[in-house]
Amino acid sequence: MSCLSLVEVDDYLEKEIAPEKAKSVEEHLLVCPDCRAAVANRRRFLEACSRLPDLPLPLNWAKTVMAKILSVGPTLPILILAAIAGLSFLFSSFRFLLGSLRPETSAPAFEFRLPLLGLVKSALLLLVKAAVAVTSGFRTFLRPDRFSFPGTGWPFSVLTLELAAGLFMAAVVFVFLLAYYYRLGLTREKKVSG
Amino acid sequence: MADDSQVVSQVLAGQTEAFEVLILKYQQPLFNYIGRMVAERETALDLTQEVFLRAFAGLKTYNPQYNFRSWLVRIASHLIIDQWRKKKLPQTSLDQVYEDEAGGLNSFSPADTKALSVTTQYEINELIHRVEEAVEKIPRELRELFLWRYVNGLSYAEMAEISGLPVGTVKNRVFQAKERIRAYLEVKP
Repeated sequence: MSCLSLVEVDDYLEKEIAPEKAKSVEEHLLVCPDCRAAVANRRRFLEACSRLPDLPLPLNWAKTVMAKILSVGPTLPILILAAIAGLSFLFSSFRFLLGSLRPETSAPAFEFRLPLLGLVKSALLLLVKAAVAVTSGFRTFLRPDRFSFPGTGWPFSVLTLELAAGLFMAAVVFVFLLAYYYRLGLTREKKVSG
Repeated sequence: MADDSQVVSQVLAGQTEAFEVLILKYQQPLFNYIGRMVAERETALDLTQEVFLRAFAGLKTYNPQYNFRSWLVRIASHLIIDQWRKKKLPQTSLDQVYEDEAGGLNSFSPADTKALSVTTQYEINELIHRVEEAVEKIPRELRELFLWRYVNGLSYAEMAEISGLPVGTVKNRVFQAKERIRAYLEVKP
């Protein structure tokens, strides 16, 4: 075997060569003082490379990171967006409710149009709400703001909250609608019977 | 100590606090790598923290068949690249860095005693100190691979997987990094 190249020296020292090749390298080293010196020098160099000192971390740094992970929640802009969307939805729902509780003396046609208008408005607001939920959820998943409910593994995120709020609002509107049509039905029965 | 994938399973099952085990295990090697890739200590701390935050947030996407350490290093590498882009640091020309990639690596001969005797001039601690200085001077594309190999202890196969480069290319570039460091030691005794 001829003298070793530096690449071969590195491969030999880092055990990146096949056992047969390593054996032939060792046989060569027995008879070649130059290569022996080369291997010894390179060994020290590689040792220095792999023994670079640790860069000092602050004390209890892992605890700090862990606290950050556990405490990170929705960001302020997301909370403001969610609050605006939620309030607008609530406002719309209450107006819808008030509309449904108009005096029975209102003209039937007007009574008929009002809930439709409310429905359209509610549907539009639901869309806005969904858009906000998707946007904030997207931002949430891009950011590491998500964590699980302890002991369940269920993801806890702004998206989860937004969807839950949206479902709740939809349920409220549905109940209002039922209440309104029930009341409308009673009114008509009263008029018919009267 | 529990296997990384076991800890990941625990965290995903809701034992969020178990994630601290992974932070404790990998904070130092990651900080050693990131700290040597970015100049400022505070930036390095922020980036290292961000690696863990992102890892936690994306834990569900982690494939247990993949080495967790490699996964963290990959996240760190992407963050460092983002950091460089934000700071608009000048990019090193790949042609310039790797111009001798195709050849010249096997031109060494043990008779070239100047090339090797450099290590005999220093005691090992002094040599470590000088290598530390030299690492800062080499192009970051080479420095990153060097750090993965000698600070994070990644195998060439793992490095190839993270970087998307062929194993041979990775080995070649690590060798170039070492040669540049050695050249620096020779020039500045």
